[in-house]
Amino acid sequence: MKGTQIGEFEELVLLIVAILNEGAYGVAIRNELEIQSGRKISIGAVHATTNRLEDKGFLESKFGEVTLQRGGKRKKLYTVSSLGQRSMQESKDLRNRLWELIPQSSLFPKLSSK
Amino acid sequence: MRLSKPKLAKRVLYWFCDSQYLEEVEGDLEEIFAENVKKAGKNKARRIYWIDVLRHIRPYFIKKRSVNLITQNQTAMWAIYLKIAVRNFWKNKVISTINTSGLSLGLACCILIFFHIKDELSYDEFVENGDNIYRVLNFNPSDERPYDAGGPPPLGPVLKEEFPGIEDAVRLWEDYNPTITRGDQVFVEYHFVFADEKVFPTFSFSLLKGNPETALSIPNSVVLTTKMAKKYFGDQDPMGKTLEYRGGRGEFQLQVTGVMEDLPHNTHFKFDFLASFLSVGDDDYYWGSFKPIWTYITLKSGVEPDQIKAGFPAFAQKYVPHRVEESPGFSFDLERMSDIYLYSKSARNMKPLGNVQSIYVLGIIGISILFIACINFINLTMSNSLVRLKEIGVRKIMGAQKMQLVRQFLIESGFTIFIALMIAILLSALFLPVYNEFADKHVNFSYLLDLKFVFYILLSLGVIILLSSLYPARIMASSGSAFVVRTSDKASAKAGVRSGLVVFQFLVSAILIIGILIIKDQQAFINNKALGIDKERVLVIPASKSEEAFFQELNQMPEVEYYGISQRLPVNTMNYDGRSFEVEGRDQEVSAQSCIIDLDFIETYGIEIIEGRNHFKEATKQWEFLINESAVKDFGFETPEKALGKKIIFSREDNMIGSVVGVFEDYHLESLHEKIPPMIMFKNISEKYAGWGRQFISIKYKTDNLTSFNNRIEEMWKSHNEGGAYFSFFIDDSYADLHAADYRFAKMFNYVTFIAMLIACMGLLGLSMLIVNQKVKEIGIRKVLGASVANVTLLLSRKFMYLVLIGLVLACPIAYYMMEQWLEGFSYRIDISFQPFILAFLMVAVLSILTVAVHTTKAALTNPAESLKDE
Repeated sequence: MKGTQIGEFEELVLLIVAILNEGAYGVAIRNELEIQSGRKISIGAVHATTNRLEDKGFLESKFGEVTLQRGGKRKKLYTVSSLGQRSMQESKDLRNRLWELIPQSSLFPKLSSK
Repeated sequence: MRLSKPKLAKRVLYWFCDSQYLEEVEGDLEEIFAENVKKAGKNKARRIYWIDVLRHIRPYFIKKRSVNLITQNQTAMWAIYLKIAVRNFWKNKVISTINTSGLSLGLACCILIFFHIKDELSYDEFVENGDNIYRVLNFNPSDERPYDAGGPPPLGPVLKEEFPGIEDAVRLWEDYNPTITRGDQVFVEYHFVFADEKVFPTFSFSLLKGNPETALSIPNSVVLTTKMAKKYFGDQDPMGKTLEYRGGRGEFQLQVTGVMEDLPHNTHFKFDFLASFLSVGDDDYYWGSFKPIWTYITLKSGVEPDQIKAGFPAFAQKYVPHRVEESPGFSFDLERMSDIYLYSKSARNMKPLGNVQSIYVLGIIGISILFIACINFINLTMSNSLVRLKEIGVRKIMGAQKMQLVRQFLIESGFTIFIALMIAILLSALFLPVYNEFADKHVNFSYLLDLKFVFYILLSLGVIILLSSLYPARIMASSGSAFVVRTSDKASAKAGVRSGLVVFQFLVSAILIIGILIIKDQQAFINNKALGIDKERVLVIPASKSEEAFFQELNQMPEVEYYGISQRLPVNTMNYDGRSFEVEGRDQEVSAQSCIIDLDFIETYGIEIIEGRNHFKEATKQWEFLINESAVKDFGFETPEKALGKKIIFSREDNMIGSVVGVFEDYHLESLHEKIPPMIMFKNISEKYAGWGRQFISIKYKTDNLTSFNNRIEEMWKSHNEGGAYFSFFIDDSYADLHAADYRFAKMFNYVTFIAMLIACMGLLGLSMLIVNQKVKEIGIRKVLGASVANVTLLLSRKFMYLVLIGLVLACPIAYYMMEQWLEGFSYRIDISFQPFILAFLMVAVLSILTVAVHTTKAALTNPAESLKDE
């Protein structure tokens, strides 16, 4: 295993895969990512990340049905593995804890001044 | 929507992308592409596809090459490959020989052509400031050849006075064959030049002895080349010694003030002596006559030649108004010195110049030959390796990998090419002296150490190694091993490439052959063209001091038919004498080449008289002139009859006034590249200039024993001219010299074409051999079934003949166009006829039929029992 640390982009991809549920494959992941984050994302980056996450064990994959679209190539459908789910949960918990530790006074004036 | 995906991009993806990611990546890209075609159009979609493919090139996706190759012991295999290469080389002796000899011949040819071109480009490179030195030309827009390098004597110094932008002006005046005497040594010198004192620093000529700044600063000083110093003074020190000069500028003594190195061969200068220009008498300083005086100027830094040129029209108007009046638009022009040898537009140079066109032609030929040789190599190697399919099949079964097979083929062609390269270097070294002799050059083998050239040769060799080995390797490596072992007749599968290459070979050879035939025709045309004179059987010797006695003896010789005295000779480019004078019926002066003649000059050269007399009245006090047809037209006399009796005022001061008594047919003064100029001939009856124009005696003889005739004449001449310098030459020889450059070019072209054709035929021979060898069984079966020898031969040859034919047909228009261009350089030229095309056609066809037939008939004659028995 190549280590369990995951980066920001990896975390995003993980989340998107979870959102898409059954239909998470390269193009769909990219499209959803672009909509949600508002950034331009290359399909190459998505492929690299999904495959790396699979190597690390956070994602699992299986190939879909053969169709006439996509030049007869199957979709590689990703789902979040149990390890992946745990890691997502951990990172969410961590964030929540940290949020709660922020002193009210130092944060909200700035936000409200917007 | 699947049709218009960029194929290449996909191929790139297949090439780098590891197969475990390929399906996912490809599918997704496909989907995006289809989406984009709908949204943004085909082109944008294709672009995005490309970008996406390229963005996938990251270490993560790139194929992991199989690991086991690295762990195998490759070094042992290299040795094996080499061993097999050597064995194969010896096994197919004929093919190997054809392959190596073709390639080495082509390479050697290329190397020699490269030497030639490099040498041509190296002219005048030794002059340090060559880009800033300009030669002054006369420009006469109404002339056929408007530029002329010979100018009037005062041009140099006056230019320097008038144009502040000119740093310096140097004049070189070639004196026509003066006699130089030292004690009892007398020689006629052919390259004697008067030069201004700045000549040494300007042209970076280095002096071995003497001071370059002052050597020519006093009158009557002379600088010799090493060769001349040796000729006149042997091992003595020539400095301070004197030589006697007798020639066109009078008679005086010259003191040696310096010795310079001999000029290198790659310069447009040619002289053995540089005498100070100050030695030349003042009466020669006038603007009226344009002589073989070359004026060079150097510009001050920051001054552009165009600035100087802008002032030329006004300058010409001020100093040579008679020329401007006579031909409107007359002016001067400049040409960069470093451009003179290859690009000069000007007539009259110190020695024949090169031209950039012949360099292009040779360069193209060189590249074509290399091409033909490479094609041979690729074709033969390709076909030959396909014969070895079985060997490859076995190798694959034994576990050879694709890269290993490629490597084996690479080493085999590399080996052959290495041998060919070695032979080529040897060949070119061997033929270099021959070439030097023939081209009159001193090219040195160290020319080969030219990085660029070596790079290009190695590059092209590298390319042919790759092409010749990768192609068969690909075919064999990609087909299944069982298939490879089973089939032995896959050789004809990919004949398309091969056919194209063969067509190209014969296209090039046919162009070269048509070219050579047309060049030959033009040469023959020049040789046989009615020159207007009879150049055969004329011997030229110097004029004799005691004329009467000498001529009396000549009269008694039965071999002598006619003899005449003249100032210049029909084939004589340097001793020209352009004169301007007045004629009746014209307000402006006219100019023509003038020549003083006497005795039977007209008869000696068989010059045809069209109108009037061919002789001058004996002991007349009237000046009488003969003019040529060009002059009739040029002077505005309309017809030859009308020209008779017209008054010509040749010189008012000297009272040289007379009338036209005859019109003679045009004859060529110079090479056929030049137009025939207007010309005037007359007898010198002036008492003041009694000896003027008596320079040569031309003798028309009728004998076959030339040596003894020549010897007797020499003896006679010497007995009447104590201590005089004798020379003699035949007019037809010097005529041939005039066209030496053309001959040389034609000859060079000849050899090169021969080699090209040879290589092409060798290739054809090899190919037909290979094909026939593959079809041995087929031929046997056909014969068993009743085919005749002729049938089989025809069947085997037909395909080659088609290819050769296509090459020939394509060659015709290309050759026609190229030769038209070449012929445009001649004033007198042939028109391109069908003949050379038909001849070339026949030649190539016959040669290639013979080549192919050698092997096909042999195969057809074989007893079928022989060829079929081993199955």
